Amino acid sequence: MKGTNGHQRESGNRLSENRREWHRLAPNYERRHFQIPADLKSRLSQKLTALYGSEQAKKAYPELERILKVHYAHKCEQLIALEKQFKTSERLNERHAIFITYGDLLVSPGEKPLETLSDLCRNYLKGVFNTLHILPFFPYSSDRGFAVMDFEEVDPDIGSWEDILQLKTNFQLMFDGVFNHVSLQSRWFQEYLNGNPDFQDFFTEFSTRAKISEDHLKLIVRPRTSDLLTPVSTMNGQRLIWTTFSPDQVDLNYQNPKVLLKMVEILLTYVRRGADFVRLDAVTYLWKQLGTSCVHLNQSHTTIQLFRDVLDAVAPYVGLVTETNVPHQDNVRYFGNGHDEAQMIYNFALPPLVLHTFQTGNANALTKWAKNLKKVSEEATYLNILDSHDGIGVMAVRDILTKEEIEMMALRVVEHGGFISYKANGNGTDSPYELNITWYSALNREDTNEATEFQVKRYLASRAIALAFMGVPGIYLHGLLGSKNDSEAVLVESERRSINRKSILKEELVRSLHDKTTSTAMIFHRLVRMIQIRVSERAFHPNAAQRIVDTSDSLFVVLRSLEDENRHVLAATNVTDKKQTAAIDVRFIQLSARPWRDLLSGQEFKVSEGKIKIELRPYDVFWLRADAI
Amino acid sequence: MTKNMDQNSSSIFTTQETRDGKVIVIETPQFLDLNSAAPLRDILADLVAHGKVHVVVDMSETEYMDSIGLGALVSRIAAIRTGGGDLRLANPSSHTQKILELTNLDMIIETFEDVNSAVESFT
Repeated sequence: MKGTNGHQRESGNRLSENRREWHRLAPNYERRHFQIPADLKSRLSQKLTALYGSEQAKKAYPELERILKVHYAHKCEQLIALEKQFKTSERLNERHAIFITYGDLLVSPGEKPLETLSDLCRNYLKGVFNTLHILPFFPYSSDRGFAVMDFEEVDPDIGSWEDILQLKTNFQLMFDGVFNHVSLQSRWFQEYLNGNPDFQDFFTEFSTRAKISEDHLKLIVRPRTSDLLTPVSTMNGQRLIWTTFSPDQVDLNYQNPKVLLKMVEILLTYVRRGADFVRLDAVTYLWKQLGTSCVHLNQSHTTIQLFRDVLDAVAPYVGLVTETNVPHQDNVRYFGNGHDEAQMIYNFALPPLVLHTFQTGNANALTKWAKNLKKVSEEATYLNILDSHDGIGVMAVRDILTKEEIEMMALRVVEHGGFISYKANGNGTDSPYELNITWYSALNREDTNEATEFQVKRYLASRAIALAFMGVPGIYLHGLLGSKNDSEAVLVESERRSINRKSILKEELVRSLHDKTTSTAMIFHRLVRMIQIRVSERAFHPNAAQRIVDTSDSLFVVLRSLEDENRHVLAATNVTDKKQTAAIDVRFIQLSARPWRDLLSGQEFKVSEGKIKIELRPYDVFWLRADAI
Repeated sequence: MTKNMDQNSSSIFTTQETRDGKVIVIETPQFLDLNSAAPLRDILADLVAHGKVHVVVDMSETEYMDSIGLGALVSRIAAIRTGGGDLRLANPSSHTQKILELTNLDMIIETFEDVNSAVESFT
C-alpha cells in the first residue's frame, strides 16, 4: 500500500459509502440466489463432518446453505458490488481505534441512552475512534448484558435498532456475539423447560449428579468457582444444567447441529443490523466433552472457523474478534493459521504486563515478551487494550510472570482499592483470574501527596505503550476518562466488576471536560490528542513491522516501520518516576542521518554517530518519526 | 497500651504491642468508614515505615465497615508482606465477614476468632 503522506486516506475499499443502507429489511428473492462456490461448499461440509459426523453433516448442510441464501437476499446491489472489490488485507489500517462502552454507561434525563452515546461520539470522538464496540445491548437478566434473553432485540431501556444504525453513520460497529450461553429467562430456555422437543437438546443436561463423575468435574477448567451444574425443574422432571459462568447463564449445546445453525442465523442477523465486527464472547468454552478440560477443544476452533467461512462467503468485510482470557499461547491459537479464524484477538497479556511494568518501574518482562510477539498475517492482528468492562485478566501471563509476581501484582491492586476474582483450576484449587480495578486507580494511589498532573502523566505513559503497540488499540469509556474506582458499587451490587462500570451523567461529564483542573479533562483531552496523532500516522498501521529496541529496564522502546514507505516511528516511554537518558542506535534504519521529530511535542532530535540521544523526564513519552523527505 | 487519637475525636484507634514486641494489635472502632479510614491508613503506613509488619487488626468492636473503611484496612497489605510480615484479622463481625467474602479478600487475609489466636499465628 503506497501512500504519499501521513494524512488520512481511503484505502482501495469503498466500504464507507452509505453504510446504513447496505441491507434491506426484507429479502429480495426475485434476484438470483446466492450461488455457493464449490470450494466453500466443501469447506463447510468438511467442518460440519468434523463436528457431527457425515450423517448429521449431510442433514445439516442444506439448512446452512439456506441461511446463507436468505442473508444474501437481504443485501443491496451496492453492497454486492462493493464486496467484489473488498480486499481482506485492507480491512484494518492505522485509523482503526476502537471505543468500548456499554450502551447505557452514559445517561441523560429524558434521552434514550443510545441517543446520549450517539451525541457524545458525534461531538467528541469523531476522527478519534473509527469503531464503536457497544457491549451487549440486548435484553438481559444478569451479568451486565452477558445473560442474553433475546438475541434479536435491543433492550428497550437503552434504545432501538434504529439507534444502533444511527451510530453507523460515523463509525464502524462491533457487536457482542454472546454465543456460549443464554439467560435462564430466555425464550429458548423457557421452551426447554416447557418440554418443547425443538429445544430439548439445546442445553447440556444431566438427570442426576451421578451422571457426571467427580473425576470428570475436576478436569473442567472454568473462570468461576461457583457450581458448574444448576438444578432446574422442567416438564420432564428435575434436571441439572451445565452453567459455566453462573446459574443464570445456561450454556448452549453446540453438539446439537441445530444450535450451530441457529447461531449462524444470529451472526448474520447482526451483520444485517449493522455489525462490522462481531466479538465472540467466551468462545473458549463453546464445545464440551466430558473427560477433557472443556476449554480450547478443536471443535471450538472448528466452530469459529465455520463462522469465518460463512462471513467470508456472504459478508467478507465483517471481522471476527475472539475474547479468550487465557494463557497467551492458547490465546493466539484463535488466529488459526492467520487467515482462517479470528481477524483480531484481545492481546490479553499486554494489560498485566504494562501494569507490572509501572508497579515495579521495570520494563524487563514486558520487553522480553514483546520481542517474541510476531506479526500474525496481513489479515489478522492484535486488539490492544489495557482495560475493559471486565477486570484486568491475569491468565495470559501465567507462563510469562512468576506466580509470586502475579500474587504481588494482585496485592498491589488490593492496596489501590481493587479486588481479585478467582477461577477453578480443574484440580479442586482456585487461582487469580482477573483484577477488578479501574486502570487509573491501578496505576495511582489516592492516599499520596503526588500531584494530579504527575499521576495523569504516569497514566498517559501507560496508554502510550498500548497505542504504539502492533495491532489495533481499544479504549474503554472509563479508561478514556481516567475514572477512579467505584468501590461502593461493588458492595451495593455484590459484584466486583461493578468497580469499573459506573454510569455517568452526560451533563456532569461535559462540565468536567470543560474544567481543565479536573483529572478527567486532563486525561481525556491529552489522550484524545495522542490517539488522533496515532491514527494519522501510517507507521502505526497494524501490519507495520514492530521491533523492540533494547535500552534499559527503565524504558520501553519500540520501533514501528512501514518498510515499503520507508516510514518509521520510534516510540519511547519512561516507565519510572525518575529521569532517564538513552542513546538509541538507529544506524540500521536507512534514514538514520536525518533529524527525528517527536509527533507529540514537535521537538527535534538529531542523530549523532548513528545514535539519537534522548532525555526522558519521569513518565515522558516520545514518538520520534524519521521523515522520508 | 498505646492510644492513638485521630484528629476527629469521634474515632479512636487503640494500638498495642505484644510483650515480645513482635506483633502490633490495632483495635478498630465501631464504624470503619470515611471518618476513621484516613487515621487507619496513617497508622498502617507508619507501622510499615518503622518495620513493624506483624499486624493483627482486632475488629471485635467494629459493627459496620463500608468500602472506604475496607480500602483503608488493606491499604498497606502488599508493603507489609513485602516486608516479610502479614496483616491478620481478629473477630470480624458477620457484616465484615460477608464483605470479605463478597470481595474475595477472605482468600488473601486470614481471620481468627480472637486476638490471642491471631497473635499466636505469628509464632
